[in-house]
Amino acid sequence: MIKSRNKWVPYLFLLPGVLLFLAIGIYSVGFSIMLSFYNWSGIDFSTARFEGLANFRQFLLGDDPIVTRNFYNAVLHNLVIAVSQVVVVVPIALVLAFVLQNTKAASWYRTIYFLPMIASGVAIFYVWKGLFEPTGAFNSLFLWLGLDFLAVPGGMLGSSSTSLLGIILTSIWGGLPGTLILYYAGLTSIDPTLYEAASVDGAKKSTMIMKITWPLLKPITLIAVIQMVNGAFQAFENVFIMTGGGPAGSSEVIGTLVYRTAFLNNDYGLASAIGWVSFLITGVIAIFSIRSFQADI
Amino acid sequence: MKTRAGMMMTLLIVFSLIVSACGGGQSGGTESDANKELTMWTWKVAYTPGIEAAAKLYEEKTGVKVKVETFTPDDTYRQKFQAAANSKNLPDIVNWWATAGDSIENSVMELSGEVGDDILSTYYSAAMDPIIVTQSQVDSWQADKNATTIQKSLKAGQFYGLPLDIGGFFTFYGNKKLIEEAGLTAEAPKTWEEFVSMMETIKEKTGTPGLVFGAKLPDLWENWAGSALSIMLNEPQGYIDLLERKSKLSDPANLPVVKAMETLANKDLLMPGILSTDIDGADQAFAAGKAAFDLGGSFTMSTLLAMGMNPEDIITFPVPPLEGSKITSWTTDPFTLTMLSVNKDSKNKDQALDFIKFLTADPDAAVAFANAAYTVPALNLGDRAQDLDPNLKSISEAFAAEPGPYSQASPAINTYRGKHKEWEVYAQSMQSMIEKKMTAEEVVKTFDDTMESLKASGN
Repeated sequence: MIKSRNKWVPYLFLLPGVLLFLAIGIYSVGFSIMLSFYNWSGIDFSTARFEGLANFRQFLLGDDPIVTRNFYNAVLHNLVIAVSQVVVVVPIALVLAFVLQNTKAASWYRTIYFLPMIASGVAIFYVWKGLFEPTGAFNSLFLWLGLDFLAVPGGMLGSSSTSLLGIILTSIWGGLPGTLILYYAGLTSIDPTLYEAASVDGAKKSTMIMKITWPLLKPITLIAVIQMVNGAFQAFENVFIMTGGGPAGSSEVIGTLVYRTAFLNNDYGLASAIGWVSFLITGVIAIFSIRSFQADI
Repeated sequence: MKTRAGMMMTLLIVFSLIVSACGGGQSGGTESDANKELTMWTWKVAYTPGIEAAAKLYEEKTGVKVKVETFTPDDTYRQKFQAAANSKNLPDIVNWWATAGDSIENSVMELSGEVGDDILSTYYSAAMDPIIVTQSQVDSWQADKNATTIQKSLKAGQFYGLPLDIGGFFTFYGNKKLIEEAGLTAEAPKTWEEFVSMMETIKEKTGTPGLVFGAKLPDLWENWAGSALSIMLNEPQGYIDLLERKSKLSDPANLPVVKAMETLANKDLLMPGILSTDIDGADQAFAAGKAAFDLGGSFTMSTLLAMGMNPEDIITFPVPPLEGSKITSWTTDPFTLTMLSVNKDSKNKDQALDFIKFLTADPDAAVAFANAAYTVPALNLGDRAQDLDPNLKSISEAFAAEPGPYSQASPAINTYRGKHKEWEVYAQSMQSMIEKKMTAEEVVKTFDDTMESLKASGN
């Protein structure tokens, strides 16, 4: 028990962390919000010019048709990545989690599936880039299998028809381990007596999955969906390294658009405004997801 | 009690460390350091040995040491500069792209009152062109609602840097062995059509694709080749009219330039995967014999040599003109690549200025820099050019002595190509054309429609 005179000591220990959080976390967020109402080139804030909602009008309402086109194009790509992640990753992760639960070498498989989460993204995405090259592993495999129609002569990332698909594949690959671990943890937390009771009542395996497992895993699914949508809207590293958003803007996402706007076009105000709208979109999707699951949880 | 005092001391130290870490450093060192060491930043890894070689000469002459710090790649360097400028933590000297209105002006010294003609007249005649603010730029920024406050504050004649080195794009590198293997003479083609024919023969005889360049960067083609084709075809004013929205890309006079790329795409003369290939990747592919020709600049030679190519196995030539061009041969018109600026808050401003004058205008320093950095100095070396590395000397001899057609168009290029966003759309359309998803006619229509739409919306 802490003596009353020493009660402040724990707070003193917290102080450096709180100060850092206020200085770096809160200040940065506040500064970024403020910046979205300014025209600023990134150097010397005394030269920033307050412009109200001009930045938002520029890309949301078509004040600058090219920026507007780029923004909606990027949002669409983020949405496609998000939907494909949810649609593909959730069932695969669920099935793999079931398999893992009933596998003797579960820890070994768990390590294998978990590898994408611990490997350095930058290095891994350069490897993926190599796999997608015209003479890379994918094209070579398709040609070897006689599936010539699947091989992309310019490489998957060098074609505007397939570059986003390449990004989606790496996103699915990168998103799978986290979801798998979530489901695996969820499955192991279900009380086995529920299955025993159902078995005694003569329930089939499929009935047990639909009536016991799935309802109990719904909160996990909600977390997984929110995580995946959030991850999809924050996609940057893989796109930046593999395609840079091209060819012809075919794989542009909000992350690369914000980067290009801020660091290449030196328009920090516009970049901040785009970033905050992206944050709001993610928030709206998260709320929508929570509501749609809420009735059953 | 003793424990509590120790705990307080620990917290105090931790807090002090945080505060000191958050605080900005001293800009440019202290007064006591002033006569001992200057700091300089660059992003050009290849330039570091050159700057250090010149700095050694400067130290021998003045006793002042210059410490060079390199941050790469370009984007990282820009971000590093911005962060340091905002926290007043820039070094004494900054190496920067040779531009005016690049938003660094509020952080570095205005030099027009500090550097006289005795220095400025020693450079190549066009060396200061991209650095000095022009009236046309001032007018454009004043009229541009998106121009920064810094740009709007600039006046004609001001400059914030001294030119370090010059070079040019618009240079094709050819693989001599592949060309000869195809039964051709390794000589520069006279026209674009002849160049295309060479590529076709090489593809047919050796199976090697004709051309590679960093097409992952959408505007690279226009920056490094397309603008030269346009300027040669219609003279500088024709290209300026297009930039200033006084003509259309669909005009019969402009269409052949777009068709030049369409021909390469339709004849499959571009290296497969070119749209996911960046500049380094293109140079690597060329050095590995995966393409017969590589598009680059004077600076590409050092990269190719570093990648193990033998200079005798390479031929170089400028962008060849399209048949019917008004200008029939492109002189590789050098322009300033980078400049040196002085931190306006430096405590060693005088010495820093003295050093950048020395590095850019002293022949011994310029030669030492050039040979170790493998770039051509902006200083007109005259007879001292014989002291340059033979390859560098050869590159510099290929440069036009007087401002050529590109110099006439470059102020308009600098002012409009980034500002008028139909060029962004054009660059993406060209990528689609490389994929054979758009025809030249569709590309020019998209460009013209975008231009009209942007004009109508006040952009």
